[in-house]
Amino acid sequence: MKWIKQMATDWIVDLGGATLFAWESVGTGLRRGVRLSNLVDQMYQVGVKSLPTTITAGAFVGAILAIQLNVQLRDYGAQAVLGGLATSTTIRNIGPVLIAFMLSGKVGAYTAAELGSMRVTEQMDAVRCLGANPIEFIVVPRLLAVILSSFCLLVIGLMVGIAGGIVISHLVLSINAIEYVQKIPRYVSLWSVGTGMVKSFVFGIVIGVICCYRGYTASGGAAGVGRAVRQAAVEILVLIIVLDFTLSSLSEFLHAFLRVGQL
Amino acid sequence: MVQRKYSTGSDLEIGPGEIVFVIGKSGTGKSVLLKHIVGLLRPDAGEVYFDGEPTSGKPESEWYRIRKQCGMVFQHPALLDSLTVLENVAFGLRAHRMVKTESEIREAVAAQLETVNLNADIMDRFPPELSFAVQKRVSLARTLAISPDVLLFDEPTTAQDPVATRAINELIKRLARSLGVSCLVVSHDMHCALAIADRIVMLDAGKAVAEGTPKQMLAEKQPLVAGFMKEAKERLFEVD
Repeated sequence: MKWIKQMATDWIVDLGGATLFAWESVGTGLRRGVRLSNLVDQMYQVGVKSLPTTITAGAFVGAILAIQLNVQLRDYGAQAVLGGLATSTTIRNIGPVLIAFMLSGKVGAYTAAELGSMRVTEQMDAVRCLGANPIEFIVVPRLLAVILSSFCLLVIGLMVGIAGGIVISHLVLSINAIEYVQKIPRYVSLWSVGTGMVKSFVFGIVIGVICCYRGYTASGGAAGVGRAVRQAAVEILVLIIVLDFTLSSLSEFLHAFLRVGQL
Repeated sequence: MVQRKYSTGSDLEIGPGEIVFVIGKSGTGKSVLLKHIVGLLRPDAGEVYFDGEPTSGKPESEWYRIRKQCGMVFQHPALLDSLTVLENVAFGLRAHRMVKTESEIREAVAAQLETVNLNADIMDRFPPELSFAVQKRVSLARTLAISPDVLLFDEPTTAQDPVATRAINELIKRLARSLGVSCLVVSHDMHCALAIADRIVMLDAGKAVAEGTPKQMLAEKQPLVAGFMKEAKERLFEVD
């Protein structure tokens, strides 16, 4: 019972800490702005360098979904709708989640480790002693770069995922690529695309805030950096799953409430 | 939550142009003391005065002014890895808007590097390309660049070769004697302490247990101080 209480307390403290950290970072960013060269450099480090991994992961996500859905649809002789279903699932649910998982390992772990190392080797303290604010100079460019890069990577990953589904269906499942593509608009509405985009943006924020917060608050030498990276990875994964459920439910609720046509 | 208490147990004052060494076993709170002085940590009790003014409760903006006057050289080099040596040393100059043009910055950085016995040709290199000892000297140059009135050193001679150690000692002495910079040095290096300190303070379990000139400390009977001094005397004897 005691450990449950402790766990709940830790969770509330961490949630509060991360929220205040995000609030301070956003406030500092809005008040002081972001140096463009700093932002571009960070976007290159976390975004451009993650592009090959994202493209590979995205392509396989689309391919896996196409193969898996084909197994089910074949039994009902409904392979004709494979293109629509695979693309809809890729955009609305599985795509954002799987690609965000991959990004949490690549972008999140890198940023948490980098900031953690800067914290334990007193670089943050040195910046403060030299008359600058580490939140403004170190955290804000990274936070913004991780959020923007993650969103862009997720969108690119989803597009590649759709292409992966088309290619694998054509090459392995012998489904005509044109037929596959023709079914997409029937099952993928603007609402689905919007849901996928909102999820991608929210997952980008989660990856950015958690990895920067964990890195910034790391303590206790090399072991502390390792702990921060592990905590960041676990928390991002759990939050993505929980938020995927929440956003999916919210999307369906709003869709029914607003009656905007096809889901 | 585990809380550690640190207290000097008595008033520790440092005057203009004075060199004070703080010595003691590892984990006694020497570095913590320095971090309290520059406001990186805030005391639970007690007060840090700077220029006769209490510092507790000051907003972060006010601390930037204090830190401009009170520079700190960290135990780690603490250089920003993504910036060149030039950008690292110029960091404080830019933050405090002390120089205007790029050529002025290059000149100021070259001068500071020369002060710590480094050649200006390392200016465009990145910290990971330099040895730990050189990084520490760059870090010292970076702090000196903002021309502080008080300098706090956390283990300045760790990992330095004897020539660099002597150069750093000479530099501390020069800063104090010629420019009137007050220097508070945390160190394990008893040789340096005996060679250049005006006063030595011994910390144990977060409390100041002895204080005096190097001569007074050498004659001190307190077991911990005597142990430290004995070790220093033995090493002096071996060198002789």
